[in-house]
Amino acid sequence: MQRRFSFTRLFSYSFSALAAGTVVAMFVLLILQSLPVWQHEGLSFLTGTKWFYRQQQFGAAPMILGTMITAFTALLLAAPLGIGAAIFTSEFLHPRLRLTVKVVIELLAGVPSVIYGLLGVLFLRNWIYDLLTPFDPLSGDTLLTGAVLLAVMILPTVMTLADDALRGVPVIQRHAARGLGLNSSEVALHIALPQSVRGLLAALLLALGRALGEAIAVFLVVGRQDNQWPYRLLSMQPLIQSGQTITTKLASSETNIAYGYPLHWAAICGLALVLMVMVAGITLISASFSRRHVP
Amino acid sequence: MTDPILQVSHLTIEAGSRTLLRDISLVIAPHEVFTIIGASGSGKSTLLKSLNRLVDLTSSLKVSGQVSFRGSPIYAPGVDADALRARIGILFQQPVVFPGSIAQNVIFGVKHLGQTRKQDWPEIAERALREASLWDEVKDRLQQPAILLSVGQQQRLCLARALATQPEVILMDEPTSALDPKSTEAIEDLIVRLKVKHTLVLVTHNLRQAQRLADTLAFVGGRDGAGQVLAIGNPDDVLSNRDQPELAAFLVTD
Repeated sequence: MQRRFSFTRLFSYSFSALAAGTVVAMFVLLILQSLPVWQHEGLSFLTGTKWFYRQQQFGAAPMILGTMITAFTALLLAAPLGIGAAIFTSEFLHPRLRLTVKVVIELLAGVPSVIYGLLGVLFLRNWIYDLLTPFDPLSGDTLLTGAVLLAVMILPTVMTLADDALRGVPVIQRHAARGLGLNSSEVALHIALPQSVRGLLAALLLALGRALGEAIAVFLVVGRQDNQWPYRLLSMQPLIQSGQTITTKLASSETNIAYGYPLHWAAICGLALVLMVMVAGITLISASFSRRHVP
Repeated sequence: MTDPILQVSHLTIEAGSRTLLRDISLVIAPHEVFTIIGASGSGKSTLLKSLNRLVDLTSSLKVSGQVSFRGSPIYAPGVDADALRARIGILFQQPVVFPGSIAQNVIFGVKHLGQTRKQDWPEIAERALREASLWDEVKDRLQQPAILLSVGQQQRLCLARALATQPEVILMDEPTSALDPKSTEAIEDLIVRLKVKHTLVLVTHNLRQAQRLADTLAFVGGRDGAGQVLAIGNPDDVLSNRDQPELAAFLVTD
């Protein structure tokens, strides 16, 4: 039988293709724009620890490390809090109160990141400095400060998506377990959590994606110190010193300076490409988790 | 006469300004099949769920009056509703299997209630599956996902899961409405056998089933906008009762 023509289908396909095409075009553009730096540095663009643009030396490793440290530490801090809060709202709060809390949390997710950055400058830097006093820090502008600020910023994302995942577990499953004599905590632990694992992972990965891509708030508190490669990688040292992430580098005035110099510009585009690959990878993995989350 | 296992006195359940059930009073004796019939929306399921306080899970419902289990009021302050539900199990209209194997499903309640030792779980599972007449069909595939069972088998698995915690009363909310005739017959045969050890409260709108299984039959009908027990007693007496217009209308239409 011949398929009937549908405007809805036509528009859906067209706009999906447009969205996919835009992403592909961005990747192609960044690859082309960054080609000179790949030819100049090869793989040491990713592994090199020195970035001196006047000497045409472009090693992005400290920024990649800074990005990973801030984003993953933020996730580590936000995950238990966000999931814990989601368990509380979804399993224990009265439905009406739950909605109120959810609206407030979602409002927090909409606060512009520069505001979080300003609050970070105002309070967090000093708190972190005081906290790190035993380690004799140079200032309160550290990767840890950026990570804590990011954790606060991604907390609403983790919480609201985790809450959705937990509420996705059918009510009848909860009632069946309660009918056996389990209390609400046991139902949360043995029914809701195991059945929403995929949704929870998707929530964490989406939050990680946001943390990786966040620029301005981290910019204000991270210290923006180039070439900070720790002596001991597996220690507290990288966390408690100033650093640079890919996004803070891209948001700095160096980007404007680079525009006039092809190799320097290529290095900046190379950083953007690395960031895009990281965020796209995380987003794709989280999307695959979300799709399989069928209660 | 033996003491009732469940006694409902002047039970009224409201949802906001709407009264779902009004002034329900009934007595359920041990080891009987107490059957509730009535039209859709008359409040049969709500009444059933009030017997083990499962109505507590719907925050909009307000319960007044009392239900006593073995002489103790279950809506009294300080009563542990979770412990009560372990003694008064429930089987829903649709089978609700948990993700996991058949064995995991059967021991789900006993495992998480923590009242038995781990080494006893296989024995408990076998006993419950035998009681639910499912053992012979699943004994060689206990580790397979429960979701692979037929709907009828899933319903018996849910019954086995409830039986594993050794409840004194089993509430059944139209347990055969989603099943084919063969599975329905299997569940009905089970109900007859289970009453030797347990008390069963069955909600159904299948009159043939009610007539076959019920020791006591109650008709819940809507009157003045709320569900009320309009006839109760011996099944033959209730089904031949023409004094209540709601019951007469139900018997004609069903």
